[in-house]
Amino acid sequence: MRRDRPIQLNAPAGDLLSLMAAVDAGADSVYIGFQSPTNLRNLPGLNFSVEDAAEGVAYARQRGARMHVAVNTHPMDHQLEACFRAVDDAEAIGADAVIAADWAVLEYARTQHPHLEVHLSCLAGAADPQAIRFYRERFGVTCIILPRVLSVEQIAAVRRETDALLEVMVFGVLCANYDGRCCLSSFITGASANSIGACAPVEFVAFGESEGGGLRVQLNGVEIHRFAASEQRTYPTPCKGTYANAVTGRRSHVFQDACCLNAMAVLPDLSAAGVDIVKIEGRQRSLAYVRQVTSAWRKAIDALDQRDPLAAGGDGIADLSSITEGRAESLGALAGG
Amino acid sequence: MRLSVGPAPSSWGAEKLGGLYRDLARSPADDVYLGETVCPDRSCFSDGWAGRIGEDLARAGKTVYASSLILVRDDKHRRAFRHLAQQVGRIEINSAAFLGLAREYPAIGGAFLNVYNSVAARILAEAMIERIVLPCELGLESIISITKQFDVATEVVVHGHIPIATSNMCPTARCFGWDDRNCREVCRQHPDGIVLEAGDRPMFRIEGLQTLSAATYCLVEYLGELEQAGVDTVRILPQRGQAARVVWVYRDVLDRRREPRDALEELKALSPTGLCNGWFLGKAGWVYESPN
Repeated sequence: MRRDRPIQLNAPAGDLLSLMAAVDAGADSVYIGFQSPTNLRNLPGLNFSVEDAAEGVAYARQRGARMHVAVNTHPMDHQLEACFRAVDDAEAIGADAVIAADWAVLEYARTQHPHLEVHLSCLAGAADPQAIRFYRERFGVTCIILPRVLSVEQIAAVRRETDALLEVMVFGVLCANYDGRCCLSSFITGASANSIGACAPVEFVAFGESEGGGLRVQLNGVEIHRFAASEQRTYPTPCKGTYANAVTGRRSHVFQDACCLNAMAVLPDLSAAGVDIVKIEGRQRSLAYVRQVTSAWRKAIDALDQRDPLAAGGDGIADLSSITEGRAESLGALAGG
Repeated sequence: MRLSVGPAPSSWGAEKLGGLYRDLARSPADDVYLGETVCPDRSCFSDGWAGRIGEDLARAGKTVYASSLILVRDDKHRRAFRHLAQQVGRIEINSAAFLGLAREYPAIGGAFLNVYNSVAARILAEAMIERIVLPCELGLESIISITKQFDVATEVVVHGHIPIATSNMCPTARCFGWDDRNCREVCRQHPDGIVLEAGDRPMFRIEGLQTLSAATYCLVEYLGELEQAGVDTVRILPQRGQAARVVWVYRDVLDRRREPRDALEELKALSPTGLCNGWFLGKAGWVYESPN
């Protein structure tokens, strides 16, 4: 499938200043969440009031950029109303799209706000053309944010069978588990990441000294990792913990090593596969991080459009290697097998 | 309430799986699910074998369902499930990729469709789903809310190592230094999964691509609450060598032939890594609490 416009860049914003930085650094769109348990980065001190979001829309629009609002938790019955209000607010401030995963939220957006674009969050886990068809027909979604479980080749196969816009996560946190089906944090803490939008909520995290100058990390009183003194420290989500397996007795990073998704090396392949939008993860990141990552990807995309052979190997990668999580990078599932 | 037995993983091997279904044919289970839900590369439900097991179970009076994969990435896996559905005649759908099949077969909506609220339950029921398996993460409060607000048959997992996550990179293979592109099917050597300790506390159990609870989830003391909530079916996730025994224990408690406390003692003895039920009570999943 041939796109009629260049690949688009979608950047994260955890607050108004980051939004401005992302737009100024060349994002075609930014995505945000409100300050409530309605989106998957519901963290203290992060996210937008409705007023700030309205200002953000105006800033983005004046500069030709779009704004998407994530309402992508799986609310339980008592949380539905808050999610519906978030969709109402997104429409009221003039956002271009809402990003949702739960069927209740998707249906609400479609029936109550038929002019609002609805994008399918990767947390819905739609990795297959038949699943995408269901979401297209039932909820009218126009863009599918693919879960982080597909290779470039598999993405190309999906592309051949759908006319939906396809968005792919290309940089940031690499989740080891199938999107929207990981309850590791919930099992340890009792706080459902799917429903309240926070993995390993900070109020459950405790640090203590470990032998040899290291750092013990507990989540709700459960030890999930011991950082060695020399180890690069990352936010202690359970999937990046170390566990002793009962067969070998060895303690290791069973689910994944602490590393960062960086798909810049396969950007030309993603483009050839017909991906419409590339997405940078990281609403929880600093303004400087958002600016640096967005700018590097902008350069890479522009170089790609100009068929510059340096597209995938330019300064951008060097720029980014210093800020990737754990100082290690991976293509994740995009690498294929 | 009806009593069902969820699908067992292919890592058990064909012989052990055959033994499980022979035992279940003689047990008081009403519904039996079969099929590989986690890893398409290791499935042993093919070549008419599942159809023959299904026939044997149906002759014993069981309603049999073919359970789908949770994550579908390949057309050949879609075709394999269509073939299995044809053989078995009823299905459990664990991925939106298979919702279209609900027009062709009597269908149960599996827990991995992520129905967290009554609106999603209604939407799923409209897709011709006759019963919905609720995610294990939902506690009693949410179960009551869904069953009260929307009249749909629900199924709740009450026993076994419960699913916590499905991975993209096989954690079992990683434990032995392999990756999922060259996993050597190491999961077949560990059909009960591998217990992972967090600190010195057994926390998770990895079985192929899935992460389960290390402890056995157990709601035998809360069946009255589920009955009162209007839950239609309770599900036992099979563990090797004891599935039929556990089915008998639950049937006896449901039929008031046995006290829950007494049943709990027997189930504890069958669970060397302990019990858990925290999610049901709105707490951390790994804790266990008795009523009062």
